[in-house]
Amino acid sequence: MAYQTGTFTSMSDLRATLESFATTNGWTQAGSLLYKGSVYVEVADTVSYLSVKVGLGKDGSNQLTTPSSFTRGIAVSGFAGQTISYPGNYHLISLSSPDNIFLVVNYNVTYWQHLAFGVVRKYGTWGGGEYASGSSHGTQDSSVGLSTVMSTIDAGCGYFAQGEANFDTGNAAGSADLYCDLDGEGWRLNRSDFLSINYSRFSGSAQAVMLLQSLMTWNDQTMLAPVYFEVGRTGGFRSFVGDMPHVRYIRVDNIDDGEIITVGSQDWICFPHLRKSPTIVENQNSSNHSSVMGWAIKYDGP
Amino acid sequence: MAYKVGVCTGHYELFEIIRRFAKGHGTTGTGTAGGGNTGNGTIGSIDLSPAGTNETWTVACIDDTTAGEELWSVTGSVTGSLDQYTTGNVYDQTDIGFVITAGGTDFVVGDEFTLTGATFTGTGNGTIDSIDPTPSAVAETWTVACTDASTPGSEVWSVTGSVSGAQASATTGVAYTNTYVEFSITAGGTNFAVSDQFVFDTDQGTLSAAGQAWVEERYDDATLDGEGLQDLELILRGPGLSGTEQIWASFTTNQSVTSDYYNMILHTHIGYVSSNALVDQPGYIGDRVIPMWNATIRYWLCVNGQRIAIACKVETHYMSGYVGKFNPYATPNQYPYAITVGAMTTTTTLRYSSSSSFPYDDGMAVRKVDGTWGTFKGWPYNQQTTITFYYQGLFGQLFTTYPAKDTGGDYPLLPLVLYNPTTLESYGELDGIFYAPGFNSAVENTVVAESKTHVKIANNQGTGFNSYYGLRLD
Repeated sequence: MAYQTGTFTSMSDLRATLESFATTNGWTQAGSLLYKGSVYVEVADTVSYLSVKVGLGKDGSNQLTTPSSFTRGIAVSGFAGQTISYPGNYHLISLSSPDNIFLVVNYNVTYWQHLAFGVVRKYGTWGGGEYASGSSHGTQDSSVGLSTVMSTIDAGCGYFAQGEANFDTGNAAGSADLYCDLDGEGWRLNRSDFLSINYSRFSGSAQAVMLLQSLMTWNDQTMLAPVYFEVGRTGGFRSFVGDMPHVRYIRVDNIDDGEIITVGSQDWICFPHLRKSPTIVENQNSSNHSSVMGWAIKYDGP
Repeated sequence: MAYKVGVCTGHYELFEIIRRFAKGHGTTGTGTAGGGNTGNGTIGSIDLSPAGTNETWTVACIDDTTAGEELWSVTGSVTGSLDQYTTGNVYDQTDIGFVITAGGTDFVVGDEFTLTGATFTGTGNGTIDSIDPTPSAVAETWTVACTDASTPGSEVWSVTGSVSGAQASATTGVAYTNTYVEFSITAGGTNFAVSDQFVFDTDQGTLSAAGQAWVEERYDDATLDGEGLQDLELILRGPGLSGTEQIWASFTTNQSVTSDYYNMILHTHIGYVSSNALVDQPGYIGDRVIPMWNATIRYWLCVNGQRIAIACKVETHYMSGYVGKFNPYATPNQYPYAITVGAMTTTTTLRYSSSSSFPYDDGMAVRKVDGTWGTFKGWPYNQQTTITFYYQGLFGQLFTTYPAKDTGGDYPLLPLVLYNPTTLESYGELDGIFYAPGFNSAVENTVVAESKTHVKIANNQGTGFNSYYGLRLD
């Protein structure tokens, strides 16, 4: 476990910091790739974004093999009218068992985005578990640039899409990629229609939504809801395929941005997904905030 | 922390099993391999308690077709034949429990073990029986030796534990008890003589060894109902997982021959006043009923210092109950007394064959922080559908609409979260109770998760995708 925080002055600066942090914590760099275990990510940056694309391996030219279809990342103009004003602040966390890197950035005082990649904790013996999640996404191969990275975050911008109403039902790219070979599938997209529309999709946050509908009325505190990964199956079924032990979904009604909370012997650093707002949104897309939904990552920093 | 799986003969017997097991009674019994055995495996975890010299058990290999899974007959000299046993499993009947572990040389037909509660050497032909290690019992060998035979039928016996040392003397015909063990010596046709002696082993109870045994505050087996049947009442105090708590779990029975019901009823409260009736105990709530019967019951009993979870098979009906603490989403300072009780019905006269409800879906009584009781629901079996907070679209994706199935042959378990259906607060998780997908799986199948075995128990006779839960055998 490792934690690092600081400032960044550009996307390339943020990329260099990410790559340095990852290699310091056991990841290997080869060209534009970072990899550890079965997780391979291709890192790219422009003046407009920092992104990764996740894959299952690399070839002799240090190109991803079995890559996902989309890139996930942090966009400079993630919200309309909210271009990142440098310097911004970053938080980098490396956790193992399973291996994960979490990059969370804070800019313009109250705005947040994330980029995360690694492998989930699997239930059972299915193949895969590698994933990438980002506040923004692009569809082009990173080798030719990410010109289609969305300039406006309109959906699915929280970790595995928590934090935005009806995540990505109108966004073909989803918000994250998870490799799960059940039913002969491969890369799956994080979308709320994972059960009813297309079995090449999954959800990481649907169960937490139901568990976080209310704070404890007697102390106004939040439950720390697990991140359960579930996939749609033929015949109208679902299967729980794993979870993310390093992360919990939370309500941030009474938690400050970046606050560290202690539960038993564990510390958790808490962030809003996009921007904390006391407004409770109901089934609403295109908000420039993530209401009171947030996430907590295991923390062992100072 | 500890579990017991077995078969008993009715609700009274299961009541006594719960009582002894939760209190952390020790075990007794000694096993001897037959001199002509071919296999060099061993027998252990012997539990004949309460037992004595009045019965000898013979466990004989009758089928060695599959090495390491040999089939054994189990025969008591008094009880007669019981269910057969397979090498490697846990045998746990009311009167006898053991485990046979295969060795380097396989067992063959004819191999056998002899199990006794105690051995005797001397001239008398009386017996020692009802050997019952108390919750304070430790692993040791007891020697009960006749020191004064001047009054036949009232001989005096020294009682010495190999660890506990010399204890008060015993007398033939008088029920004996000390801190560690109880027994009775009964005279036979031939009088005992000085130096006659009984020897038996005791072992510490699992919950006692873990410091999680429950203390019996009240046990009443003298009250009879209108039909002359015992109305049992048991009040237990648990130490919690910390060892410093006071958690109350109480049990009563209600039965009727004429109406053909034999029920066990769970209750809880927040304190104990010895002069008060059960229903007048502080913060009392109860009448959570596990319908049973007065015939063979297969049971799964899981106990640790903070809760008692029971599942049982009554004819073809699976009944469940839970009493004690759950694991709250709060610190002990914030929510110090997170207790709950629930079972299949609140009707104390309900027959097991009548319609009941699944407590882990809806109906667990939870003591809220303000001290009042609420009836809570259990996620994910029960998912609130009236909320218009986030993600309205997801509420069309409930477990009832899209049930979970296995994950490539594995059956992931989810915690059972208690939530308040009015305020939608998620209070915490039941200890050792999990959602288990029912797809392509049958009741009593087992699931291994986190190196623990979980047995799938049905909601009564339910066979639906959401009709099962996983009970952690731990």
